[in-house]
Amino acid sequence: MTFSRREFLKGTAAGIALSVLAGPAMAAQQNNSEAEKWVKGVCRYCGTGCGILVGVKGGKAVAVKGDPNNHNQGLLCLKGAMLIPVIYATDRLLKPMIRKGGKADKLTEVSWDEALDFAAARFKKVLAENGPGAIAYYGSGQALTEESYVANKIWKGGLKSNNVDGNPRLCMASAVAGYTTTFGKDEPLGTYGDIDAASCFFIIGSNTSEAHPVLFQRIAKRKESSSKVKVIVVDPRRTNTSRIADVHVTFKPGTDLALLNGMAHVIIKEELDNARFYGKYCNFMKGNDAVTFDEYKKFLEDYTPEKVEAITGVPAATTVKIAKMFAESPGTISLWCMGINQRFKGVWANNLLHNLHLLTGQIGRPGATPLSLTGQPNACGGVRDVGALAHLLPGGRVVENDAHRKEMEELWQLPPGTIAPKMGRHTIALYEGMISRDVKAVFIHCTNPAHTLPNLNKLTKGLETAFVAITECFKTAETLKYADVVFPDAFWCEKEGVYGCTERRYSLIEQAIKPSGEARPAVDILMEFGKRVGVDPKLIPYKNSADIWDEWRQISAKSVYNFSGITRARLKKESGIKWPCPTEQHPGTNLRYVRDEDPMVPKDHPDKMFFYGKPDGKAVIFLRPYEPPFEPADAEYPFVLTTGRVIDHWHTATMTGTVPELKKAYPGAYVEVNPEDAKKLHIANGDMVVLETRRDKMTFPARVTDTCMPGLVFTPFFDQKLLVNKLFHDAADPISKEPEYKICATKVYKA
Amino acid sequence: MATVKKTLFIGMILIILIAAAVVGFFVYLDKAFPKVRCEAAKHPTTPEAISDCVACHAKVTPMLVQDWKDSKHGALLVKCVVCHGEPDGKGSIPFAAKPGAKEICARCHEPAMNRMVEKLGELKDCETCHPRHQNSLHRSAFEATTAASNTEP
Amino acid sequence: MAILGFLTHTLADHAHAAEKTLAAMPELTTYGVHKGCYVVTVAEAPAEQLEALVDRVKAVEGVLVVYVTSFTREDEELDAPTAPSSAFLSPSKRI
Repeated sequence: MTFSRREFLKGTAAGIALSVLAGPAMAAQQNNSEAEKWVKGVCRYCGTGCGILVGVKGGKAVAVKGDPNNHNQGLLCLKGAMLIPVIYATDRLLKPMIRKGGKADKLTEVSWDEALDFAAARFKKVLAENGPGAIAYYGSGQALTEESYVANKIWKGGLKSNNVDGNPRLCMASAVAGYTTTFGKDEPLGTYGDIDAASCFFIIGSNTSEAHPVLFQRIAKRKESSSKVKVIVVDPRRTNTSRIADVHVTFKPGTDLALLNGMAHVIIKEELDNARFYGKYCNFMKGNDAVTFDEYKKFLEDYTPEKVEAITGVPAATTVKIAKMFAESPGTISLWCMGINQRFKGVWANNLLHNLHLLTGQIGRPGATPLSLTGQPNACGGVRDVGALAHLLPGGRVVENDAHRKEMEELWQLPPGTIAPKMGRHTIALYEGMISRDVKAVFIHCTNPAHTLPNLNKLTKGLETAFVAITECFKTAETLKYADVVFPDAFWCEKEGVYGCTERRYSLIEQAIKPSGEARPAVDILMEFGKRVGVDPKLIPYKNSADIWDEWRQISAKSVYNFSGITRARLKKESGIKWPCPTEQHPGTNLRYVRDEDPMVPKDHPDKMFFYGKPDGKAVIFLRPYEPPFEPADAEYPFVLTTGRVIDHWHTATMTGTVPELKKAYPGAYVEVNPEDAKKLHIANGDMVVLETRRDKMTFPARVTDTCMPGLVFTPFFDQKLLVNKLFHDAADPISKEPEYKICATKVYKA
Repeated sequence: MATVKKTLFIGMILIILIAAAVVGFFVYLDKAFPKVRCEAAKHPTTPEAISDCVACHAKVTPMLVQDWKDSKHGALLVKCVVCHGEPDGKGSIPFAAKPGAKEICARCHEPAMNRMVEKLGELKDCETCHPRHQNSLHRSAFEATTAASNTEP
Repeated sequence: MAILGFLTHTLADHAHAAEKTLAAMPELTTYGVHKGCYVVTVAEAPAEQLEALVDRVKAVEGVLVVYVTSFTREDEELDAPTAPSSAFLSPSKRI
């Protein structure tokens, strides 16, 4: 047989090519047409809550596409589109683990029974020796509604501890307090449908294009439909969101309260206010005291456009311009997120935004509404509505209200007096309680506080001594370093449950695949843990999350957060339903507090709108003065440092960091420096730069870009190796207890 | 007579020189900017060199990047990797210089694609009518946007 | 002549047609369609013509991209002592 050298070489070349095919270098084919079935669900990431269909083949998730029947109409952002590799990442945590010998020991894999018993034993001991005040649950706006509900019931009803809080405290607490102080009840009045009807978009403290991309698309689409649609973006950073802005307003960070009062001043002075509306539907208040409209008008004399310019740097003409745009448009919608909420005066900032809508009557009609953007996928449905915060009970009830406690004890069939009468520890107080050793055991679910708390060097000290049990899906979570017990949670579509997004829409994530490894759905983990700690099994008799949903659904009928018409069967058939929804025939609610739209408003109510959350049915316009941020820039620390997200990464990147494309787009943190500042400091693009605050100092590569205004620097918080939250302080809004992540003072210099 | 000849002669030299300069200029352009630049012939493999595609492609295929930036996909941050995957083939999306409509476009645009098929029947590809990197934002509604900040000069 | 081994990644429904077109090209030898969309191909041509050859492969209907897996030009040194230095391919390139 002749086999020439040439033929041999060619054969070798072919062989090499074939071996490459066989190897792992070929990525998994993501071919839609290969899926055997499509399972309906919701994206794991942001508060937009896009419907997603998961393609399943042979018991594995192989593809995703947008759900055409949910509000996103099939669209996804790049994170949602690349969710599949996260499920099968090698970073998945799939076995229970404990540190047998205490904090200095390493985590060893054990059986479920051993892990559960180890955790339960310690919690029982702490309860017996120190009482319910020494244990805590720290939950998450990414947990399923059923998980947060059952945890809330176990702790407040079963273990009698009100130390139930969660990461929405760090994110939405000011928006919650804004809605409840202004309107009486939490949660937005409008829906995403208002985006399609608005003529003026007032976007403040939000980088919508990166934090809520699919909503940004909807806004851009609305803008495209008519040149009369205007977009105002108010942000000290000129982000990608400003690409579609007609006006982009920068201001000295923290002074936006003055700007909002300034707009109110212009609206009244130019007689663009709607006296008929607020005369009928609003009270004016300063703190807890009622005041008159004239007193409000006098109060606003401190906020003329010229005075506002001196405080904020916004030219007087700009304040007048945007105030007129806001008031004169046929329908104005405001959208805001962490720039307004994560502030020392976050609740006041929320109130001032609502003021503008109430003053102009830009509310309660399609396209006119103040729509707070929720950061996490289930902060609304799971934590806020369920009342899984230290001061709340389910359905908008409050711990320190005797009647509310009595109602919940009846609904949960608990002996009277079971629920403790004082509110528990909010997040900052919780971690401070661990430092002072008053809190000795904490159960952390579905969140990564060792990465996301503010002032990390201080607040993580508590985790070094407290007993920490944690459910987690990924090995890269920073909090695992402090964990005594680790329970592997089933991830996203490996379990069934409900997510409630920004627009009051509850959608069901149906289980698409079995949990990987030894992971179990968190509702099972929580119930099993609860029983072993000593909670009466009759309190948590649920076979699965559907049972939990059914109980919560029926309980909701006794409050204005009534969604008893949203049965599991309906959720399976439809792609999400907006509450209030009191009956199975009810289609869901678009405009809350509006007669004939909101079923909680009696059909024979004499007025068109009814703020039934308030005793007299009226909303509140608050006199809130400008107060500076907790730590403004000064001579010693002359720059303002802020933080936020980037589109490619979700929070602490335990999930998005497993997707090669997303990891490579932003492999690490950096600091954005304005070119003017860079020139003065002799910083070139790519140079290493030190950020030094009163808490810590860290070094980052510089990105010289005109995104930030001069005097402001920005660094994203996703980097697991550069925990930027060490730089920030933990001073919190006195009303909501939400920390001011967005503003602290820093030195900036070349390394 | 002699001066006319001399003028003609000088004129001819000038014309030749100018022509040579012009031709030389274009020859230089052709040689200095070959159709396929060296960096473009292969995608970088070292971790430091790989990042967002845009940085390198802005130099190598500037028109494509500009088209994308001006387009809806660019404004909405539908980045290169969402459709094209990663060139080292180790990403979650298979690498494709020309992504397939059914595999890639359908992940977000399936409802619209179904409507197209209903109206116009099965089509060979999307990009004959919808050039992929274009779909510009430069229309009357957006003409006045990308406003300057009030702090800019 | 240099020998270049590569995978031709095609659209799934064009794979076999593409293979036939590639096989018809004189410089190429094909070794079947694998995983529904990869044609294992070996090219034999002078090194300076390979870039243009790969471009022609990419222009074939249904071809998405070419992954080069190996390259050898020992024979070329023997054939042509004045062969140009390797323009863009490094030897034994794998992905």
